[in-house]
Formats: sequence, structure tokens, C-alpha cells
Amino acid sequence: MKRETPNRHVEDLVVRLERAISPPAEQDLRAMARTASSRPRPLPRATRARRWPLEPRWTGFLVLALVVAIGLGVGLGALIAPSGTAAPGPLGTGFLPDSGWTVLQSGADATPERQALAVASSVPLHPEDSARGIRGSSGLPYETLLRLPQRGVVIVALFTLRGPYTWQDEYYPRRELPLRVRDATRSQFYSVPVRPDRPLGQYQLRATANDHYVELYFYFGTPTPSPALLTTAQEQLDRLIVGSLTASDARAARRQAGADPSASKLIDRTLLCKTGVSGGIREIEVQADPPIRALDRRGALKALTGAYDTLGWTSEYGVQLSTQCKSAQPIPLTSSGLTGGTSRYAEQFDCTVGRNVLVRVRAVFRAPAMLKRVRGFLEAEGAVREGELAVRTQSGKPLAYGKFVASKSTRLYVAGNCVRDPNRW
Amino acid sequence: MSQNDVSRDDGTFARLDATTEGVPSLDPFADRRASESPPAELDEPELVRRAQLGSSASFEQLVLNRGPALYRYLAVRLRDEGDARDALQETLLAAWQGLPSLRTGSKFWPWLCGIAAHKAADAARGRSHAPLDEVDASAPDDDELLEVRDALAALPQHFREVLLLRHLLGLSEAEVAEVLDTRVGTVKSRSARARKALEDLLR
Repeated sequence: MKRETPNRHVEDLVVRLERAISPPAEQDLRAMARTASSRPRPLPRATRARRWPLEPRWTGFLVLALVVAIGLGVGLGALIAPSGTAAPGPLGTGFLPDSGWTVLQSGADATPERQALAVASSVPLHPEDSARGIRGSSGLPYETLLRLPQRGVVIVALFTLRGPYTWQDEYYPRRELPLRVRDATRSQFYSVPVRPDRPLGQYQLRATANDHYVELYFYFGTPTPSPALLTTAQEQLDRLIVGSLTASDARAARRQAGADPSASKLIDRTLLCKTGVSGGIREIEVQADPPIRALDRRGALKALTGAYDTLGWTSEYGVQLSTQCKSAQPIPLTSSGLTGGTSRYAEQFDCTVGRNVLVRVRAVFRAPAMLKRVRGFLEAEGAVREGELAVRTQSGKPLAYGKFVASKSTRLYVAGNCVRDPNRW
Repeated sequence: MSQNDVSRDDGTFARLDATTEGVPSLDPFADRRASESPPAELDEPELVRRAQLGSSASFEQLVLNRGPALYRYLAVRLRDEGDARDALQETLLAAWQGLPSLRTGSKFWPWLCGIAAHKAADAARGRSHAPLDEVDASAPDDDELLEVRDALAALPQHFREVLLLRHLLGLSEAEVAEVLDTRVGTVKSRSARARKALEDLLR
């Protein structure tokens, strides 16, 4: 029977089909976005020179006008220029300029002995701060801060090249760029509030990034900065440049840019797998290995079935997934409804199951990795920062959940019907 | 001071979180997620402009806004959960790297759809496993929808592409023409023929 109003019906069906598909969770989308934005961008292409658009006599007039204008500019500039040597754009370290922001930097790259300074202000700098510049000072635009309005933000950044003595490392935790405002701590530089009568919001953030020690001071016009103000600060923090691009950096960036685009720092797959029979019982085994530095053991989680057929496995070395399984909708990564905790030794639990189980393996790599087909498995090799494994029945009942954090710990939780296998410890 | 504090000789720094001296957390996503992320309040061209400048936060917001629809398109197109996720990740990588070359922020969505369409085509060409029979785990329960899904899969690719771009991603005919690098007239005729073919398959 032919349907009525066919076009409308087709559109409706496509829309219904779309709605029947669950999109990835917000945290997965965020992880994907971060993986993408952690990649370096290629340099912009050189633009082709255009033909000069003016006739010769107008060109002559323009040149004359420019000479006069430059002469006037230099003369006036000499009268009003600040004595400091602040540079308006980023060199090796500093803030990228953006509309609505004033950015200054000390103009020299940081060394282990000499700090480089940079200031970004969402309000125009007070003339006195502009005139003084920031070289040789603490970098604090004091007059600007004294008058900072409620919605104003000033960020002062101090950079020191990490030298041969790394004892300071513990004060500057390694962080990835862009740095996050939310990692900042409340501070008062040398216990002195800048503006005691109308207190500022003063925060500090320390980091090691691109082989530099970075010390950031945030000054908000209010002691309790609004979310909008925090995000304004974050937007500027996203434009923080740390360290010059050396030739070796450029080569590394080029290598990374030329790498396979399907490589990703996050591998997250859920599989629907048939289960095997062992000793007449249809079961799966879930194994957990804690990282034990003294024995050179690394964290790992594994789901097997039948005669030790691996369904899904993740360790500090990579990921392995059985190609005998099918893709499935993601299952939750949670220990809810299960019992267990930190694994002190290698352990295994056997769980009686039905014909199919759902297995989810999630691994966060330190560098982009790619799944490759190797002898009946999809494998990705590389250093894994953290891995998770979840197993559920096809109907969604949780059977096991585990998580390891590289060099730290492995936790495993299992359902009540799973039995510890004493042969593995 | 807690273990997480950044210590200083003069001990002037205190960890800032929701429980410290009544000072609010600096984490803009901590407890007021819905209202506090200004990128979400910005319109798309502004988010695109910021992402072009290198703001990963703005790019993240763009992905949160547009990612679900893109994923659904890729899932219907590729009929495989894992392939759709991989293709989405590849689309986002290409988008991040290509963003500086996008001239008009308002054309971000059709531009992104174009990347996704090409990545989906690459994934469909490159995959080594059977796309249809082994991957039913993400299939909808509704029989009618299953029919539609199978009928869409049975359509020639250029018909299917037009239908999905028009009705699933909501692009205009002119935008579809731009994505597929063809003329608007061709899109119109393909669209009509695709609907007719789908209707015939669904009879």
C-alpha cells in the first residue's frame, strides 16, 4: 500500500530515525574536542602578492603622505612613548593580543637566571603603568589594579626557563596548555592585599609547561569573580604562549601533524561479545593487575571467556579488542551495584553469564594512538594514562567494573555472583 | 593546608575550593554548569572566531552544540557505533586544524557537515569489516525505523547523502550543493529522486 504524502513521511521517518540514536555522552564529546584541539595547527599558507591597484601618480602622492605621517608619528611618539620596552605581541612567551585586551611583555625570552614577564589586562592600563613598562619591575601594574573595576581582569605571568637544577619542579606541577583558571589557588602576593579597602580577587597558578616554570597571578575586580569573569580570564589564558618554537619542536609538530589522522588519545569502544564455555559453564573471567613498581608490573584490566579468549583488555601498554565481537551502544563506567576496591595483588573473578555480554574498554593515551588489526584483534599500542573496563549482561545488569591509573592503582568491583579464582594472585 | 596546596615559604597560599573560607571555586564547571559557561551564551560565529584564534574552550562548546547531530548523521551513514565515533573524532581533528581557513563564521555548520561527509566516505571506503549485518547493537527497536534504516542503506550513495544532509543535518539545498560540490539544481533533482526511491523501497 502506498503511503500518503510521501515526501513529508520520508522526512518524518528520517527525523525519527535520528532521534532513536543516542549521541555520545557530554564528557566523551568534551574529550574528543580536547583531543582535537591538542593537535598543533599547520602554519597558514603564504598569500599571493596582489597587483598594485593605484596609478603611478597616486602612488607618488601616497608615498609622500606616508613619509609626512611617519615623520609626525616618530616625533610625537618620542614625546609620549613610555620609557619601558614593553612589546605588544608575543615573542617566545606572552599573551596573544585580542580586541578588548591590552597585552605587554618584557620582550626577551626567559632563561634559568632571568624571568620574562607578560601582562594582560581587560581594561586599559593606567598611563603610569604604561609609562613604566614592565621590564625590571615585578610586572605588577599597580596603578591599574588600584582602579580595577568590578568586571576587570588583569593577568600577570612570570616565566623562567627550567634549568639544570630541577628542585623547583615540585612547586610547579606539569600542566598542559592551555592552562585552566580553575586550577588556580587564592593568594596574596607576599601577604599584601593590593587594595585592602575594596579587595580584589587574587589568585595564583603555577605550572611547568614547555620546559618553562610559569607563575600566573590573576586579579579580578571583585573578591568573588562571577562565572562570566572567570571565563573571560580563561579566554585570555587560552592565548598564553609559553616558549619559542625551536627547530626540534617544529620537527616534532610536523611529525605529529603528519601522523595518521585517525589516531586519538582516547580509545573508547563497547562490544557485544559471545561468551564461551569453560568446564561446562558459560562464564567470563575478569582480571585486574595492580601496578607494582618493585616487580615492574603495570596496571591492567582484562575480560576473557572460554579457553582464555580475550574480549577486551587495557593496560599501561595499550588496548586490545576482540574482532569476534560487534560494536554496541556504550555501557556506563560505574561501580554502582558492585562490590570491591583497590587490588593489592593480581586477582581474577569468574562470573556465570548468558550467551552474550557487553564489554566496554576505555583508555586515555599519553599520545595519540591508533587501533590496528593484528591477528584477530584490534590493538593500539602506547603509554596509557588511565584505563577502564566495564562488563554487563546483554540486558544491562552490571557484572564488573575496573579502573587503573598508571603507576598508581587498580580498582576492581564485581557483582555478587562472581567468584574469586584462587589460582591467580 | 591540605595535601593539594601549593606550598610557599611564607605560607600565604590556600587551596581555593568551595569549602575554603566561603570563597567560591574557580572551576567554572563545578556546580553551576548550566549557567556559568559564557561560551555557551555566545552565538556560533563568535565561538567560531574564538576557536579560530586558538580557544580550545570555545571549540569544546562548538563540539557540545553540534557534536550530537554530527554523530547521529555518522551513525546512520556508517551503521557502526565505533566507526561513527572514529569518524567524528577525525572530523573534529580536521575541523580544528582547518578552522583558521574558514572565512565566514556563519557558514561553520555546513562547512563542518562537509568535513563529516568526507570523513564518512573515507571510513566507509576504508573499513575492512562488513558494515551491515554485524553491527545491529545500535539499531532502533521500532520496526518501521529499522525498515527506514535498511532502505536508506539500500539507496545509491549520492541519493542517500542528499537525504541525510537535507533532513538529518538540516542543511538547505544551497548548502548541500556546496558540501557535495555540485549545483543546486542537481541537489533538487537528486533529492526528489531519492525520496521517490526511498518511498518505493518502503512500500
